[in-house]
Amino acid sequence: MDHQHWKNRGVFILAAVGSAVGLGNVWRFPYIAYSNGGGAFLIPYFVALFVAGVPLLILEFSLGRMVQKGAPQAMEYIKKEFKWLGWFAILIGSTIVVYYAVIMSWCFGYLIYSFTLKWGANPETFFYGKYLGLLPFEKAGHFGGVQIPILIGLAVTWIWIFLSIFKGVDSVGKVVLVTVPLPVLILVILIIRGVTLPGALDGLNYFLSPNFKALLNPDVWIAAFSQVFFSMSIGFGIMIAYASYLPDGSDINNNALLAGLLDALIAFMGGLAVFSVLGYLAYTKGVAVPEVVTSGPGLAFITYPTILSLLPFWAQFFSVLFFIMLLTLGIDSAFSLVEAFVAGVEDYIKIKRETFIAIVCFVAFILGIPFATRGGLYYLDVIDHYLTSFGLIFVGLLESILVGWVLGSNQVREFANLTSDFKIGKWWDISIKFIIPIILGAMLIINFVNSINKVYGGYPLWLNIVAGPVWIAILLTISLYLSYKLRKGV
Amino acid sequence: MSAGAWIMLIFATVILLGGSLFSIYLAIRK
Repeated sequence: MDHQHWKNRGVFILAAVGSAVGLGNVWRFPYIAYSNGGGAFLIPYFVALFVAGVPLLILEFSLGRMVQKGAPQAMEYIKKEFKWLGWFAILIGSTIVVYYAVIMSWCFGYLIYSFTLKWGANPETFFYGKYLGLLPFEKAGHFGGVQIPILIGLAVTWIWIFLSIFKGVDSVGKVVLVTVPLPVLILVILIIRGVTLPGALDGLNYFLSPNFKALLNPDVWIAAFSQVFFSMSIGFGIMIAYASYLPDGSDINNNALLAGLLDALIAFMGGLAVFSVLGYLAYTKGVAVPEVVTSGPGLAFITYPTILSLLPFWAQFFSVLFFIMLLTLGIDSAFSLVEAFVAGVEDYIKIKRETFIAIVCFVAFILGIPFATRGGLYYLDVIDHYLTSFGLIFVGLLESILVGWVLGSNQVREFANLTSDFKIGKWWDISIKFIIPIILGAMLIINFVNSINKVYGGYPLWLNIVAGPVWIAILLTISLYLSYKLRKGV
Repeated sequence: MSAGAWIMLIFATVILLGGSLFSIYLAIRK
């Protein structure tokens, strides 16, 4: 199969930014900033961005451009015995996209509901009770029946993913021209709408007022590094795959810097959009802003719809915009996860790429059905916790150690500098060899100790074990099997 | 909004927007 290339540099950057920017930029970053020192959080966040985020992007872009293949082959290039790590990275991503697509399906459902503001006066009851049909917490681990509207949305999501990537970088390059700028434009509209509402400045005050004492708390620094690490689509093999489609002579360092800065910029804009309307909600209810602050799906599907219903005019219009924004933010991240998988296996498949991707999307749709059931949210929550808290950090840790100490950060740095708009110095080696492994190692240990001390989320122990260690062990076993079975090298 | 909040707003905007524009300048100057 001929190796494809991006049409131009701008398209590559858009694709990389589209992958990095996801729902977390809107529903995670603002909350993390607010609860970790407000405006003061920006200082550790920028430190983490420049010390870990951008260096890791440079690392993955360099690997992709060097090897011009997916993550397994890139790891094999570093050391043959670590090919499994590449498989493990893309299998983690493949698991995540199965339930990420379900969240996209919720966005589709809510986009339709936006036209009539169907969530009515009580969005919480509507979301958990009617839309998800969520089983009581005591029944966590049961599936219940499939929720048909979610299933339909899931099918639409997978068709959209298929259409986005079936022609590889050609189709991805066309899709990102719309799905990356559009949510940014909508974000600007939502910020303007938000800051012109009464109470908005009070909300923004909670987001931006700095509490510099928080900087003395190590947890705040860990939160900043975690946010940067999870937001950049690092550790899935995505950036390796995307960079593998760069032609020889392409820039690496500046592309990584721009992708990192744009991801952070969009997260910051997300904070402005969210906290301005939270201020309005608090004003309307006559309560303090902290009483209405939420994050995650609760923010997107309960709090934000509540606010949308309260808007003085054009409520449906802004609702439609909001959910189009979530969909377009999420779709690039979703299909980049599938693309990372396809880039890893395309050397080993004998059928046409389009047919293979159709099969992958169909299988992923089927695997996603359990998450579309009445108990699906509980499974989604537990699996996501373990894959991100352990699997992803583990990949990032080993990846930086392998590049830093086995391949040699010096060699990678020189490779990146050769064709880049600006050169990086030895500080990059220090970051890859010491700072990133130490921080990711500390995060891994902290998460491990927390898991031993307390069962996650109050869910049954068996559910934690099955969705956590057992699932990770299965992915590791498959990774080892694939690296043994598929020996065709680079 | 407090003075501190305004300062952080300007600080973040300068770093993020300024940094992005500078990066784009580096990319297109050749």
